[in-house]
Amino acid sequence: MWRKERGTLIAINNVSMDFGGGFGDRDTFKALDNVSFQIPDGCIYGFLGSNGAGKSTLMRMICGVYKTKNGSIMIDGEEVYDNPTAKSKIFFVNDETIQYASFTMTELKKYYAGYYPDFSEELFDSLTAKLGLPTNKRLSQFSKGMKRQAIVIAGLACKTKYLMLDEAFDGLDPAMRNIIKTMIIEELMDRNAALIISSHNVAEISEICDRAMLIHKGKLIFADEIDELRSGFCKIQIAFQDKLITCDDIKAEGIEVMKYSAVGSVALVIAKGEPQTIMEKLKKKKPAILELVPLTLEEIFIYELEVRGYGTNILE
Amino acid sequence: MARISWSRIVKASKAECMTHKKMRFITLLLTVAGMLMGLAEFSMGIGDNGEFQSIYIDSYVGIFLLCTAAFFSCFTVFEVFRELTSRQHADVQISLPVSANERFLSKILSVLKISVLPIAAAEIVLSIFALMICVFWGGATLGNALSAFFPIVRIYLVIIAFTMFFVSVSVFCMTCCGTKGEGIYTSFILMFIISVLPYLMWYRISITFAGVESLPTEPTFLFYWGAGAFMIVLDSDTPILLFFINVIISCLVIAAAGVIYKKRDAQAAGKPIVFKGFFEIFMFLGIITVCDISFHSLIWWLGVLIAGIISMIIRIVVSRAKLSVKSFMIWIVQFAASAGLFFLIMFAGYQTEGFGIKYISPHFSGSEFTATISTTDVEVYTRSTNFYYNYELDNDGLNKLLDVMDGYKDISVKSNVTFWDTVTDSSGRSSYLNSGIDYFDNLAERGLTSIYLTVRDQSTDESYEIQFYVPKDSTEDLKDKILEIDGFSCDQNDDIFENSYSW
Repeated sequence: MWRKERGTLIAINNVSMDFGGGFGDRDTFKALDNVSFQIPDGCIYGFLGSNGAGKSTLMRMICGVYKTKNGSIMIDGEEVYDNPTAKSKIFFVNDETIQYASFTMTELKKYYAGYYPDFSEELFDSLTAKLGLPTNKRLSQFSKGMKRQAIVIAGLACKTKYLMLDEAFDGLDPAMRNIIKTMIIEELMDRNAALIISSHNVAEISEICDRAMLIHKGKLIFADEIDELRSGFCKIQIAFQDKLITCDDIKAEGIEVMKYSAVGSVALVIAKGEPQTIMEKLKKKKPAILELVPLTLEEIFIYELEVRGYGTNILE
Repeated sequence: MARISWSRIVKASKAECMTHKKMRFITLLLTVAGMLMGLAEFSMGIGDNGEFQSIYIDSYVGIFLLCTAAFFSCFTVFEVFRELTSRQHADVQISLPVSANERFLSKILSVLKISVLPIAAAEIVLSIFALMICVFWGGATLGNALSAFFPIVRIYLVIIAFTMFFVSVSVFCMTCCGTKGEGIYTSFILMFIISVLPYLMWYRISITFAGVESLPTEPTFLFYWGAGAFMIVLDSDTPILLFFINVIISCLVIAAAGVIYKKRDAQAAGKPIVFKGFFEIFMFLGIITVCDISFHSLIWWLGVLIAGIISMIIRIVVSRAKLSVKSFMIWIVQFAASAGLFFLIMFAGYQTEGFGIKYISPHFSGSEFTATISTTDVEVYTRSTNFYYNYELDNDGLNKLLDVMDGYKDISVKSNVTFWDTVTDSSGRSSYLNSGIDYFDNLAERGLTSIYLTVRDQSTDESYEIQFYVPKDSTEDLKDKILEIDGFSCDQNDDIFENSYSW
């Protein structure tokens, strides 16, 4: 993880978005509901959320594809929608690559060079050579992973201040995922640019991002530094010699239990609150085993959504 | 600022053209083939004295290929504006650092480069080649060559006007629709409506209801926009100014599309129809077009039925899977309202005799006629459908004829036939669609006979055409009066007053 000095930013203020309700369409649904947070300059920001939570919609609004009907989205103090200056600071890679099918790598380079004033042909060529992508073949002949690589190369060569990737690593094998991630981070670090990335792979987000937000049914659940997020929860393994501690026993100590499970006499508890305070409360019960277990972002993601009833009905 | 914006437009257009190489290639193929066919068919008319007389470059295949290239511009528009119908393309294109205005202008510039420019270039090359041949090999002066070349220029200008028409209507429909399918079929249907509806409506009002043949000034620019532009080619008297009006109308439609384009964002991509107003106007125009065509040529209720079925099919297609009994009932009411409005307009037109057009139309007037004929040797041709008779009258005979006709100049064309009669009495109507405006039919229903006279002044060789109407029951009376004039022989004029138009 890396962090640079924070200055300018993307500010998302009270953004809401409704879909549907147009001609011949009476059904509407709220894709985003009063979402507010900021993406500081030079960070790697992860967008997390369930399917259809509103991540891609928010990304499209941030890069000026969708108009904000309520609230505002500002890039370095400028409203982004229909503003070429603000949009020249951000490059969006969406979750599809079909739109580039007719291009060769050379044409892809020419295409973006015409739009982005800081486009670096040298960088494009060097990254293309590095990844061994053919320059004279159409992208329609590329594999899904190769197409992804091509678009990421184009995004990096545009040298924008913000690079936004929606499900960007889909279709890449683990080795290539690692190469691309490293390539992106190295390139962005050099010029203090920010990476905004959405993925269902929470472990991946956890690995490369220093900040993350979680969105569910259009509502923002949290948006903070990942370390801060982790510090608000703790995972404890606790066992007694002669009995199994129950969930109610733990709750009786004034601990907010988010998840309880037991294997034999060993209980695994995820609780909300300061780890030290929780540990001290449980020590009073003199357990045979009491230890803090590292908590992953994925667990926070799952528990936050479970608390909101996501997926529980299906399993029941 | 404007310079930066223009630079962005040019760069974006360049990038856009690069992505549509196939469309450019097909257009170039058609235009180059059309140009080569034109060149292959090129010839000069040389008189017996060896002097240049005329120029022929009217290869039908060549012109057909250029027209095909013009029509193909629709498909270029559908491709260039694909971000309006595809969310994937919208993600890429709308996130690029250009404003909506710049993006729209860059796309229009791309369409002009891909579609209009090759056609114009092919025509210019053909023209220069033809003029050079005439001047250098045919010995024509540049003035003579240009003069001889002018009819061909008319054809070329019309092809450009066609291209602009196809582009403008396609762009307009694409900006109002969110799926490619809707963009395509609304474009083609609207092109048809624009090409026929103004003509049909105007002539129904001016000729059928007002009972007149022509007006001193007619809104011809409306008839000539669209497929009607061919009239500029067919009728050499049509002013070339109409071409420019044609192109200006197309540009205005593109500008309107630009305003709409700016109003929509990527959310609209994927919705069949983005602007309800557009769709309702489109449906209304479609319904009245089908009703009007059927009103002219078919059993009227069959036309209404066809219009109803087509409108229901389109509404079902547009609504995709969201069908309900309630919405179906609403569509039926909407259709009934549109068809009802059409009949209301027709009824109002009938009652007011073409919305008052009859009273400003140039009916035959004896005084106007006598002012133009002053010599003694005058030939009068009377025409009844397809038969022409030639009578030689002296000045006295002519004056008598004028006196007779003068007595009929104020006859009202309105009869006791009701509007409902004209609607329901379709049994005798011609059963083919393209019969045009058979106003004779209407005159017959109103109990009138149309009389044509062509008067030729032998001293100046000038001709004057006169038309007037007489009630059927006055025909015999008129016949008797005319036969009393010296110069009309009984054996020749038996058919003159036969009512050829009563079915």
